[in-house]
Amino acid sequence: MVSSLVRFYLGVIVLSFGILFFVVGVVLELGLVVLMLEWGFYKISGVSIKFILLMDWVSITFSGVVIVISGVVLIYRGYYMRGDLNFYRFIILVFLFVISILMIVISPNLIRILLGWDGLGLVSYCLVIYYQRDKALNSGTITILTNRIGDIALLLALRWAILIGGWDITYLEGWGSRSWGIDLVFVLMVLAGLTKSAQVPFSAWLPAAIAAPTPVSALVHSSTLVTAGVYLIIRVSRVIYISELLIFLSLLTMILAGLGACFEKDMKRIIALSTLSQLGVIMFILSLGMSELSYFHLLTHALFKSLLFLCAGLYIHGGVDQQDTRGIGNQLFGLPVVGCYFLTANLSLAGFPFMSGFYSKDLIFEVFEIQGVGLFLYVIVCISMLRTVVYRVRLLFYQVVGEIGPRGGLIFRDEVKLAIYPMFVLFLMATTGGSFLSWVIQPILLIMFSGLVKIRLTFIVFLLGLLGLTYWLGQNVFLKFKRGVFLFTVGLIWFVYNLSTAVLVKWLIIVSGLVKGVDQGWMEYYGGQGRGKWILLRARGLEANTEIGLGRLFLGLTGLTICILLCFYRYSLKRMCGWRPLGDFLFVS
Amino acid sequence: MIIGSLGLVRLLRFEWEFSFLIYLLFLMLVLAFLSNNLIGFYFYFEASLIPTFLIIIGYGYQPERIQAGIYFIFYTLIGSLPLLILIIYYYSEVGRLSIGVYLKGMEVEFYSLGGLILVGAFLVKMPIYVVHLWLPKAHVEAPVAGSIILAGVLLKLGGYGLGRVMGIIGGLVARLRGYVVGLALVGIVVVGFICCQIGDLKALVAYSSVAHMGLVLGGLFRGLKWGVTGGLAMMLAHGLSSSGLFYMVNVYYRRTGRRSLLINNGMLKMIPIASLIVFMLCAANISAPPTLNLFSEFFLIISVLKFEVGIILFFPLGSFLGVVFILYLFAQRQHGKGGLSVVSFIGLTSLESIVLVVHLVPLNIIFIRGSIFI
Repeated sequence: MVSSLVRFYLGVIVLSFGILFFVVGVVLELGLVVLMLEWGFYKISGVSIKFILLMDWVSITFSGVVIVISGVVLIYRGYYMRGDLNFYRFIILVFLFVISILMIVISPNLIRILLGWDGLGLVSYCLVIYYQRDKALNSGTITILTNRIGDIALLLALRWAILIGGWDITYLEGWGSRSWGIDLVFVLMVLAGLTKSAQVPFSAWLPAAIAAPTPVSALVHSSTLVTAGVYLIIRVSRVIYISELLIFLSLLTMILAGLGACFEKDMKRIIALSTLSQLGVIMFILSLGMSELSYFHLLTHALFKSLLFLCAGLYIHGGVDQQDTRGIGNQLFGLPVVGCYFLTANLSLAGFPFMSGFYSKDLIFEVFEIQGVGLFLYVIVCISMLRTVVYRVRLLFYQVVGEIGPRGGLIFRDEVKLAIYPMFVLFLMATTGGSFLSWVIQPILLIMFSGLVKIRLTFIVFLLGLLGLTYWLGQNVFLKFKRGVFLFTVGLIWFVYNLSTAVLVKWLIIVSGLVKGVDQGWMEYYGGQGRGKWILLRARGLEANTEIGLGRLFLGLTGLTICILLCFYRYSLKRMCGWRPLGDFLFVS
Repeated sequence: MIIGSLGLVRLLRFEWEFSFLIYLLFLMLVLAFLSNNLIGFYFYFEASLIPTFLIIIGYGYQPERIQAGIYFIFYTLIGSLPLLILIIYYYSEVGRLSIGVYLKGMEVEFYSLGGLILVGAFLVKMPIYVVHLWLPKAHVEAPVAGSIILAGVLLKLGGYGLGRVMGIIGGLVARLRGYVVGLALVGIVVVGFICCQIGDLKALVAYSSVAHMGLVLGGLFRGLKWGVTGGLAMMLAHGLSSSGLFYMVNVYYRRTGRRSLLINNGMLKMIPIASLIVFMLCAANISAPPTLNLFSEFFLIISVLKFEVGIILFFPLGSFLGVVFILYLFAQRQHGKGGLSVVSFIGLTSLESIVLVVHLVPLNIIFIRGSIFI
């Protein structure tokens, strides 16, 4: 009982801190204040190692969102994982997670970012393998190994940044791109960001990481961890500005994740894939040079996506630990409030007008239109936005209207205050957060004075998506695609899984087998083992009795050594006069 | 270095002879670290072999321990006997044996042959890849105290000695460093691959120390202050984390009676607190924050990568493989059904937890006062 109280109050405290941070961030933005604290550790070879706190509106609002979500998750978890024996482990892990993400966020220094970055990887690994299942273990392994690539990239970036003599990002930005060494720093940082935010070559870990408990997915894999990568790239975006490679990768992510989500049936995987596609959107707008806009979408996305995951957790409970969308449908009457939240979050994500996702998404769309990037990109982005609507509404359809499933009716009234009340905070933010943030942080140049036309694009896309969905469901597209290569490809999200697991593991086994063969085979044969046998054989040849032969051999070797030593001894005696045999053995120099 | 090594020697079985051997070894090691004299260093360096040999032969688990002991002693002796000759020759030429005085007036030939001998002795002791074969054998067969000292202190003699004689062979470093750094880096990658195939916990930890020592060697031979600093810190950090892992292996061994990765699973259920500690030790071993390992690896990377740009293709692979096998070690042990051959269900005893915390605390604290290495 005490523990649940502790958990509850911890959650409340964290939540209120988060809201405080959020408000302070807004105040900082309005006053255009930037605070910076510096604490020098030590200097080596002219490079000083420092501990810097940077508090501007970007970092403070971001950490506010993170802390709000973690507070909600801490309270929610008291209900969701009730009866779990290791609740302190969970709380400690969540706190470590928040600390390490704050390390990244409130720091312009690469070393501090690295500290938080590694910490994030490890803590999220621990959270993914929280349940003792093989699936969790595999997912955790793929998660941390992918993240480790980013860690190493960051470590290398640190090393190359020494060319400049400092690790502050502001300092790095000041240098711009002058030589290839400095360029390399930025390339490596972007690589690190790509791994963390699961862009295309590294995107296998995000859908896999849903093996974590659902509150963890809400905190880590939907809103905060994945956006840390984007955050890092946002920090250096003034140098990168517009990058074609990033555009390409983010488009690819968007397409494959959206398509995968349209055909997926596991509820948490659908949400994870939609996170992936939203990350693609964020990264896309970032690579067009609109860092503030992508930051805006990042914040709103974090809010409604975590709400979505929390709702999914309750639905999974309602369906008695079943994640398949076909098995847990028709829960509108069982869980009305959750249904309301779920509807809101889904519509917000799909960009329904005046929800919070609308403000950022619409702006992204219009800015993208203004940029004039060509027809091909335009069509692709339109299609992927459409698909967002399709898979969102499809999920909603299954959840609310669909079949009740084999075990769906078992739990009615699963709405406990402990779960519903904290989610209400997120619900408020998912509905109003967008407009609130848009008043504060919208870049002035980008305000679209368009009145009704403002809602035009997103709304049209939304309606088109609905139309597409009706067709989708009416024609039963799933059956048509059932045996095709297409569905196979989409289901494996374009073989990203295979590329990052099976192929690599196969090569790892082959290479390590070869290398181990060399190590334990050839090197043993020509090294110690073989030579030992050789000596023994020779010794046996000298003497029929092996032991005497060995004895002679060793005697001979010892004699030889002593002779050599004596020679040197005499030689040195001859050369040097002041020989003090005992004195030099002890501590006299 | 010395202060760190003091904390590492612990008595785990209270038998008279065993304690005597441990204390003897400990004395030799401390004297070796303290001696300011090449021949003194050499003497204690070699003298530490005898108690270690006796510990392996006398208190190991399996019949293979005899071969392992012989392997161990001959590998090191073959490396270091020429060193004695060299030291005497050096004394006859220069007239003093104190460590750290730059060698003047020696011919160039001395550098090429003598320097190789000098370096070679320490390379075998460290051990570096190609001459590392004694290490897994000795570790696997040694009792836990033996392998803790072996990993924690004895291996560091090589690196320490190399750091000490760096002043003498300064010219040689410039000529040899291409080969040695290359060998060290290849060693890191190759050992990483080998470790992915090993099913024996102790051998896995032993091999992983080869990789770390390779990094230390690279840092030392780069000849920058960054590298020497990082090498020193890495030796200390590795001594703590790796010996902690050895002790952890022993803790599990006492529960299950096996060292195999396949059998030691599901330990999270049985000893959860040990699982936390082993995770922190693993995290230290893959140089995650805020351990001393990260601090040192960072310094070493700076110095090693300054050597040649091409290393940027090679080094990350080694670092990545390090994570692969350490996580394999951790996850295989903690997850799974477990209980295949559990002998006892005793939780972590107070002695065990004290020993592990002694490993863990300095690892995570020294980072703050990292300037002591500089």
